[in-house]
Amino acid sequence: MATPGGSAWLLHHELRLAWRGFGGIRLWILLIGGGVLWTALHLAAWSMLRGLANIDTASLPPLATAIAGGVFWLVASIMLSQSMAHAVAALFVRGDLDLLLSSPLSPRAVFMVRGVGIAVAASLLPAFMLLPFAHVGVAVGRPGLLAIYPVVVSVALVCAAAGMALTMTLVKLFGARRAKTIAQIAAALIGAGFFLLSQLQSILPRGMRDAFTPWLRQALEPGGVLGPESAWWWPVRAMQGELLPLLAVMLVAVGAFWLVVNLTWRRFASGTQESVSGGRARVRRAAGGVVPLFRSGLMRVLLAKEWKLLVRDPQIISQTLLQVLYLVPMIFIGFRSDRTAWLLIPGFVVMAAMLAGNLAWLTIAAEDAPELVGIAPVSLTRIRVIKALAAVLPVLALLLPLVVWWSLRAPAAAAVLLLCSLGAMASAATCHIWNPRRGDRRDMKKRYKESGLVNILETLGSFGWAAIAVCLNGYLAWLPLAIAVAALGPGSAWLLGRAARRDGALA
Amino acid sequence: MPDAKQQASPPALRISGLIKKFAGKPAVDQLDLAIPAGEFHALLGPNGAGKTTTLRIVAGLLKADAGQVSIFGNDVATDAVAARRLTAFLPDDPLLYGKLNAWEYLEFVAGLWGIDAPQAAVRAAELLQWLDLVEPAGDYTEGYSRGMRQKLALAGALIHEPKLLILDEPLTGLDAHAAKAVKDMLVDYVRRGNTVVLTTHILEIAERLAERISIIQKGRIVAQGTLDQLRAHAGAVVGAQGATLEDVFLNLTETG
Repeated sequence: MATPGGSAWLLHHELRLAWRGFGGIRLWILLIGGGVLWTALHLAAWSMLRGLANIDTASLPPLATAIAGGVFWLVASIMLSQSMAHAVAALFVRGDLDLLLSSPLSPRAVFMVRGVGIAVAASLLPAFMLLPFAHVGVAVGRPGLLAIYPVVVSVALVCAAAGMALTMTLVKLFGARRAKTIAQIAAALIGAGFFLLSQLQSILPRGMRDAFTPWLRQALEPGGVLGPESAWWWPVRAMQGELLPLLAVMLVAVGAFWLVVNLTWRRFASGTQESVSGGRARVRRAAGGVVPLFRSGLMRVLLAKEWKLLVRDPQIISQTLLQVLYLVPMIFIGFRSDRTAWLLIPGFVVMAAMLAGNLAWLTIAAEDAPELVGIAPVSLTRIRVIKALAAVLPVLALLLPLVVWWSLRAPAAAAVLLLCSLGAMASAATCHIWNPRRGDRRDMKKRYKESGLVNILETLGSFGWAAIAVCLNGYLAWLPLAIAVAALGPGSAWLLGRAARRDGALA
Repeated sequence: MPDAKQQASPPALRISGLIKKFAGKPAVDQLDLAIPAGEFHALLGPNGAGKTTTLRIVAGLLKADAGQVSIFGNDVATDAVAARRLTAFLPDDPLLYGKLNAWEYLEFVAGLWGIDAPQAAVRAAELLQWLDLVEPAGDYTEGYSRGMRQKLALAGALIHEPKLLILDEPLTGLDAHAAKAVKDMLVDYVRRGNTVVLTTHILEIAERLAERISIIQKGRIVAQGTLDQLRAHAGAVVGAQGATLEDVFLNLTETG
């Protein structure tokens, strides 16, 4: 047992909180489920590495290193994004810093332990996915792969350090309150950044694309900027047990973490106090005491309120921005090639339904003042329908330019896109109306825990509408089945949500 | 005074035979209460006595297991919209929208009650002025103190000029100035012919403001009346002259 008040004791406390925040899954469920999955991953690693056992890695084509390196940087960018999100939570969201910083514990120790906690949280998934390769590597005669252990730890430390440093820099530049907003949006952008980079080919104009492809080919050649010996791929070489890259990665990790802790812990303490005691957020004020113009009518007032709450919350923006960012490259592809329209429609339908479902959860389930809405002299169903509209209309606005564009070049595809997207979005929103579950918009990640069933039904409905789109492109015999699947989502929500509707779950 | 009001019909609030159970345990148990229009009524009781549950049923936020509740003759179960138009409910910890400012919050509440926009804007300005919230009215409410949030929620409750105002612990967290402003506002509100029902743990507030007081314990009304009537009801245990409401309350809830 660690000594109370020491760093190890504090780390144990942090990890316990992180575990409970993770969902408090019962240990035996985790052990059985995780064990089965991990065994499967070991088998997958076995089948992959067995074939490579007798191959000298130096003889692999240059592109193999680049692909492995690309995967590494994709994982690292996600880890960095997670670290930033955790750093924001550590600084702004968790309410225990007043207690910790007013205790005899050194603020530096608190900051360092919180950094280690961030690193642990960021490393869990990559460790789970990659460590089977280390274990199987020993069995197939590649003990060098055990270096995956120190590399995962090192990369997690670097990401934690970078996440904390970026957040602290934002605090210094913009103040605690604005830093929180910017950091959350930046985390979302970093998370999606690699995906957008991978879509450059699709997004870039034709001229730039023509120049980019040869440049990339040349850069990947031996001696090029991204060639096999490039420092960009050192982490991948470190994972294979190459001594110099491994030492370099570990040195950079420990150095970066130590530097960030020692250079920014004071700002951490002051930034926390600023965020806790920060002044009121200002918005444009009605000039000179003039009474602002009020809107009339329930629909206008309710839509305005829902949209204001959506666009003013950085956490919501950062979460939904990711989905919008994934949708944007598809829209670009859609603009460029109307011949592939039919292939893209199912993807658009599912993405639109996911986005509308998330927004519907925010507007319907995560109502901040359910008591106020519950006592209003208006039917709750009418209110929920308007709230569903508040969720569907922005996504429709995003898709509409493409629908208009296609209606000139591929009118049938445009009509199906509009019909099926609207159907899928309405289906997702209807699941929330018919099976109302209370949610807390301050913790959007818990959506999948609080409204897990609704989420499954939403997905089912959206897949059904995507299938309808496919069927309308020449597979009409399957249309009844697709319609049945599409109806299954909201239908089940209606059946399973009877008690919640009767009890007025939102109130 | 209450006698004259009681002659007018229907009462602002009538509760008869109200029952509400949670997991089989009664929170409200055969509760009867009638409050005439124009009365300032305080509902007192120890923690867990059933005050908040009763108020939430009256506000239409909870469904009763049995019994009837009517507001100015409108049954809250069968004629909910008509009842709600005449009512406002302020919970003990009102939830606002952190990312709306005071003007936007009041605009939204006015929209829910279907109030004409220009009229709502004028009313909002009056209320914000009255509650000393004009200066921060352009700020997001997430930066408001507890007292400011309570005052803004009260402004929201009053914007549609309800005839029956139901308040659950309305003065919690307010500083002395804010508490006095709210108390003055409530007294004035009743003076203009409206009805206020409030719960409070601060017995001095009930003693000074309420015309009649109901004491609730274990889901039932154990005593009801003016302060003098309650003193008489409690018996001579605490001495006739100097008994405060606190003495009476403690006596009734200990023996009741």
